[in-house]
Amino acid sequence: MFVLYPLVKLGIDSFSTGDGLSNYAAVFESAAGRKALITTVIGSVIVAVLAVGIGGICSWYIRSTKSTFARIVLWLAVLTPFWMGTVTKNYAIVLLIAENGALNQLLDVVGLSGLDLLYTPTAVLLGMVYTMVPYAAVSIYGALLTIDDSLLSAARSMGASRARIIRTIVLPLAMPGIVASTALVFAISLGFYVTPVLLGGAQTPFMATFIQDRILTFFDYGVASAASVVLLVIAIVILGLVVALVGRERLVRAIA
Amino acid sequence: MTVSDEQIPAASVPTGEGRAGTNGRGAALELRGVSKHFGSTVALAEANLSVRPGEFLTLLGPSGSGKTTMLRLIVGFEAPTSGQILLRGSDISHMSPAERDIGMVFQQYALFPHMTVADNIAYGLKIRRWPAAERKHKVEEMLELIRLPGFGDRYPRQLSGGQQQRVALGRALAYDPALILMDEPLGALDRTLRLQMEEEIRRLHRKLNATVIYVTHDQQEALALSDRIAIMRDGRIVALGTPEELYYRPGNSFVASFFANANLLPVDGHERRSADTAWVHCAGQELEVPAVGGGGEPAVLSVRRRSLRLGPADGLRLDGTVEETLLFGDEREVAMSVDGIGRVVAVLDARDSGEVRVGEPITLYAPAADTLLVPEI
Amino acid sequence: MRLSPRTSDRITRIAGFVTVTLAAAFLLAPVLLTAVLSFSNDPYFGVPPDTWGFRQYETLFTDQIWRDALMLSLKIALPVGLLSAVIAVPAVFAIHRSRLPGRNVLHVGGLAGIIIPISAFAVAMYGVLADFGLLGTYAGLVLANTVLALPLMLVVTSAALSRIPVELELAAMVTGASRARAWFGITLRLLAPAMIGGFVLAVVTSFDEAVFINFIGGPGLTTLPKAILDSARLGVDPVIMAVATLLMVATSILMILALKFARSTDE
Repeated sequence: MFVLYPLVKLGIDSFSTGDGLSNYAAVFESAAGRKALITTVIGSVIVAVLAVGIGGICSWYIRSTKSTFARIVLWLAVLTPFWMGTVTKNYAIVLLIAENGALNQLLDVVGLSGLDLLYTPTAVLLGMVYTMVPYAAVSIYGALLTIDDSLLSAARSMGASRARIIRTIVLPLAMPGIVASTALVFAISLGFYVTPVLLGGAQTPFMATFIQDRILTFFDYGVASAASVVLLVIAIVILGLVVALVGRERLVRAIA
Repeated sequence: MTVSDEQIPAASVPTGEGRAGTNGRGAALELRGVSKHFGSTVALAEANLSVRPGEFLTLLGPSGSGKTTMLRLIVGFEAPTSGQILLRGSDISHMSPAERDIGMVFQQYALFPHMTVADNIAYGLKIRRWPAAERKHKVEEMLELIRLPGFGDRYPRQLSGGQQQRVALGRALAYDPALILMDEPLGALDRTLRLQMEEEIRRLHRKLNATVIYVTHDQQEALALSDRIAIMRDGRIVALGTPEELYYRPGNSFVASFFANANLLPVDGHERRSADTAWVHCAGQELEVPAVGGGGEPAVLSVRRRSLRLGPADGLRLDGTVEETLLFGDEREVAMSVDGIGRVVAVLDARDSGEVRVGEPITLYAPAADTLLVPEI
Repeated sequence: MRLSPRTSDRITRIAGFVTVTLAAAFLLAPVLLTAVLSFSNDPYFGVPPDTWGFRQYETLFTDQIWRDALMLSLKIALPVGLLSAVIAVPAVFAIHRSRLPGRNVLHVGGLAGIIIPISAFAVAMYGVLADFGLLGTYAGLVLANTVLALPLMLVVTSAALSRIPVELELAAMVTGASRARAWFGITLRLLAPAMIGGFVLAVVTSFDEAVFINFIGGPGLTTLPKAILDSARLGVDPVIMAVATLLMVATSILMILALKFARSTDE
């Protein structure tokens, strides 16, 4: 109730403040709004693919490695972003990629020219991937755990190579979990606020900053709510598609 | 199974009266016309049942037969739609479970995971405000009784399934309730453990002379444990009697097939000769056979698997083709198909039946006195 | 070209190892960097620092701004934890132990709170709080953070309750316990670790909240994340590295405790 009531009200407000669809028109007609929406959606797709890719590989490694040390280090690596505060982890990335940050110092030492990453869309994506890898890794790990070891042994006994086992056994069986995880990461990514603000600076257009500007700078709640509803609808459509594709159970399990 | 396969004349069947021992003091538990409806479904219809003090009574039936509903009514997890439940003569139909003085053993043990074995056993004693010293003494006594002395300080998760179930027994028995209910307590155990636990339950029952109602869907368990068995189907008690009565003289076709695993052969006609014999026309033969029931209703001929034999005998003769054979050590199970009758299963002596081949014709005989005409339900 | 399974295996293994090592480095580097740099003694940011020491920590603990922000964050997080426990526990019982028609809605609503885009959610909260005149107030922040923390509390306690068999409560009642004694002594007692775990999780979530505060906070309401964010927007202040390090340590300890409690119900 507590969750749904504000969302429903948001939907109603987006139409009733102002005149019907005018708020939506304002979002789509302004260059800033269009640009922010496109950047956010494409960015979220990239983040979802990268986070699921990295998280998936890490979780498969955790699942299959025989070395306890490797498993502990990887778990630590995967869970660390979880346990760092939202703001602090983005700040840590600033330290890493700032003009005089650690990455550039390192590049300097090996004789490469520095990168000007901070306050670019790439920096935002980096920060978002960093945040989302744990979500992806944990939810895919859950899916990988359900794959019976004897299946892998069976494939191995028939002469399949590692790559083939992963391609023909692991991936198909984990696919519903991977799809659910991708959708989850995508939906969460749409709403990122701290990362664009800290790593993207004033110039990088993301929906979160667009929405905030509407409310706090222009006091235009109507347009902000319409923009929010657009984000919500995209998230709900994608999640709905995934539910239709792999079932509600999978998605619930990916979240919990 | 150790029950002898000799024919037991109906008159000599023990009724279980002697084993219950304390007959005459009135019923420990009595159900009078108890029904339970869930919406329009009838989970239990007009059940009447009287359990004697010290008796071990089993409710046996397939799932959905109403046995669990009956148990939940007795313990008080559900209230009856109509009827009365009396425990030691007083009406408990609408009391809360806590007021009823019943002990219960659950299928999944239901031990409290945050308490030690000793605390689990002492739980009912604490609620009954036993002084600490007596409580401690009683817990020791129960641990001894369930053969887990020295296990008091352990937690349930540190015990095996069988051990946990023994603790559950100890917890239910500790405060000496008027009635013990057991809801498929061996269902979660593997076969070997189940046999051991059957032994254990028998021993505890003998020793404590407790009144027990035991729910199961396993007829072997019911046979091995019970003084009397109530067989249930579709919310009704369809038979009530000692294991011997129900096995050798089932009152109807359901009991014959579900409890005694008997073949039910269709008859082309039957006619009562006396109170407990009838003429039947079966498999093209006319025979005089023992019969139960009123005589007017549709009936089938019940033939237990072990009643069939290879050697010629007076009585029923079945000609068929062998469909399948399965060796069980000393015995061989043979399935045959008989024209006009269908599939008939026999259990033969393994060494006598070595020549039986799948696909070949076979002739089996059942002495007429070893068959029984039963009403079809 | 077909590779022999053996060569193919070796390539897969090396490729996997390299990818995983890079990923681990990427995930671990920011934390280690922050922790190490927090011991810089320079008044400015530089890698590597010119001098080492506890200067940043000293500044942090003597500066009134950081102390106020910390206190406000705690003053919000603790009531949020309590509120979500008070709401979540009855809700979870309603979901599991009754056949209420709305139980699915409750479940979906709870999960929705975790996955919907947070800034859209923040605008929604803005709208609701504006209606009640709670924008820019302490009460408004507590309420909004509770809405955010509640789903986590629900998920944790709900998972724990589903692992507590109903039979335990029934067994206690047959054995003679009153309904209340069975509920408090058995079911609630077994749920307690998960409730504590959920409480810690809710507190951490609220403590860490940095999005809502920007929409619905106001002047004079600067929580710790907000203070860090504001400071970081202005430039790289080395004090933040000390704040960040302390926060990471505290959060890690709390999260490990929370997970430990939440899991102990399993046994």
